[in-house]
Amino acid sequence: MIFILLTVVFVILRILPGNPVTAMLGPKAPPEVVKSMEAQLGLDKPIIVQFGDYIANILRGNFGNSTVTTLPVIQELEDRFPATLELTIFSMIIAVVIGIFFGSFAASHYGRAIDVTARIYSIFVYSMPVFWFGIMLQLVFGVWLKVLPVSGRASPFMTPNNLYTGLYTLDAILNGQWDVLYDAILHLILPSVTLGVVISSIFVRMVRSNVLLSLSSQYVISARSRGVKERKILYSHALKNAMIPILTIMGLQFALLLGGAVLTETTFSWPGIGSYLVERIRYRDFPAIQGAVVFFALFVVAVSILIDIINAWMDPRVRY
Amino acid sequence: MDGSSGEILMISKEIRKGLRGLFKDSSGLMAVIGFLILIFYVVVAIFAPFISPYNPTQPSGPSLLPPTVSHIMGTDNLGYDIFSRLVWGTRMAFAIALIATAIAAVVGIPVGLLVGYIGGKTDRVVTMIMDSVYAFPGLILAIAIAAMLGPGLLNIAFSIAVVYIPTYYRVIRSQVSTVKSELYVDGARAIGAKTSTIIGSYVFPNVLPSTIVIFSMNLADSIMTEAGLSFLGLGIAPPTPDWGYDLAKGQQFILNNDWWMVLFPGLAIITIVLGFSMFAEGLDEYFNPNIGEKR
Repeated sequence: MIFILLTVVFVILRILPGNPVTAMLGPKAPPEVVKSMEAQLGLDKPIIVQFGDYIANILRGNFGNSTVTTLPVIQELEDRFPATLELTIFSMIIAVVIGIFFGSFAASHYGRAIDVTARIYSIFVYSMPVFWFGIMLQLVFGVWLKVLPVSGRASPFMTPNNLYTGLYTLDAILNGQWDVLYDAILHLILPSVTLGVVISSIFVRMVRSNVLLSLSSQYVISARSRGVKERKILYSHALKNAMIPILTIMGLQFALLLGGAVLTETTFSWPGIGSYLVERIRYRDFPAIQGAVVFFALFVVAVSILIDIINAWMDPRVRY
Repeated sequence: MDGSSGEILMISKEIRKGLRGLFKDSSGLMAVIGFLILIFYVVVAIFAPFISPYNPTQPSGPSLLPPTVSHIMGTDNLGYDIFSRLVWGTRMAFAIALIATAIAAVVGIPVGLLVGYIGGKTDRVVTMIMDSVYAFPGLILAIAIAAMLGPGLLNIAFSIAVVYIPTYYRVIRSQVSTVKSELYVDGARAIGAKTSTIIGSYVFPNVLPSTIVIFSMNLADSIMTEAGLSFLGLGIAPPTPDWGYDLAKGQQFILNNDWWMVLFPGLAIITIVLGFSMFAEGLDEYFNPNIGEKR
């Protein structure tokens, strides 16, 4: 899986029409410059050798040096990663909470107003561009109400003293800097609500249909006949059993979350890998673009492994 | 009363019966609403030159004008009329989405048919590759391809298409692998039909309904992806009217409270995507009534 994903990235960046060197230098660059640039990036070698170098370098954690900052790309990615991680974690929490409560509530009130609301909510939110929602939130909470910051991760001089994890909220707690924690949370609210709400549309649908499915199962009927309370049936019988397919689907949606993260980070000038990618595309910084895309591929694989582990832990029937 | 009016009465009765059937459950209603929204945008796209009051790529008034009678959606920082840009942007949205979805379908469907029918090792290898592309964040894939290919309508359509090829492939392949073991396919093979005939006249018609549903869903997703790409500055070169680009430009002025530059392009994207996805969902429940979310 990792290998194929890396190959796909390689094919897109090197083999498809559109040469990275012309992309970097523009179509009117003199041929000698193009030649030397190709040699510098190793693009003059046969394609199969390039592929070998590419895989070997990734295994060594070597993504080359940025052509803009001349720093190693891997180091820049490391600096940016905690911001993306923090954003995705908080968005995921928001999406999961909305998804589970709204979805199971809708399923238990099948066909009634709350159920119809849930269906309309999910289809409407799904049709909403994440960056548009972000801008509207900036407008309402940042410009009209002036209660929340609209860009960045922290106010000036409000970063944690010692960085342990790079997650500002966690580091602030570890340092005991409560004002920094407050500031970090304020900055997190709009981006993570934006991304979380947009992703929640799919979760609401999935939770709803899976809970509906398990509500019509034998064990729910038998629990009901034993006189178990409806609320208990919903949360400890139906929802619990529906959680396994839901978790798998949530894992699949993580790719969508990352795509949304690129847009959200750009909207809120959030200094993560997504905004890094977009920023470096503007500078035509090929090693950085490749590094960021490879990074996203690895991130997706890591999360799918994590989901498998959680699944095995939650479902006693799964054994590896 | 002459015959023809009686006929008309009968036809109108039939139509009403059909409509009542459609509106009986919410999925039919959804398909109809979605379809009406789409018709509306198709009309807007076709008659853009007559609908739009100003030239979308030339200043038509003072810059940053809030909505007024002469500029119902206001103007942007260069004095372009937002409403005119919105109307012309419909063409761009349709053009890119249709080209992208068509490319994805033209590649994904035949490959899915063929690989699903052949099965075996080819199937395993191609499916593994397609699944990997499918697992990759679609927007990031499109960003990478668009960044390499550079701007241009076809390039953008192509980068979006690559993302959606696996969607077709997966659905078609899985359906083909069940359809191909049906008795009528065995029968066709027994009377000596060529593989191409079997796939073309026995297998393909059976998977066609799902293709139409995916096509409609993909159009919705392509419009979103295109808007995302042009929001990030990877779309059609300005000043061509494009919703995503207009939104990105509008965001620069959001701190001045110039909300009209952002609100209207966003609403346009939402409604057109809603139209496609409601239409697709309605179709889906119509074609696959058993799979629908029924209790």
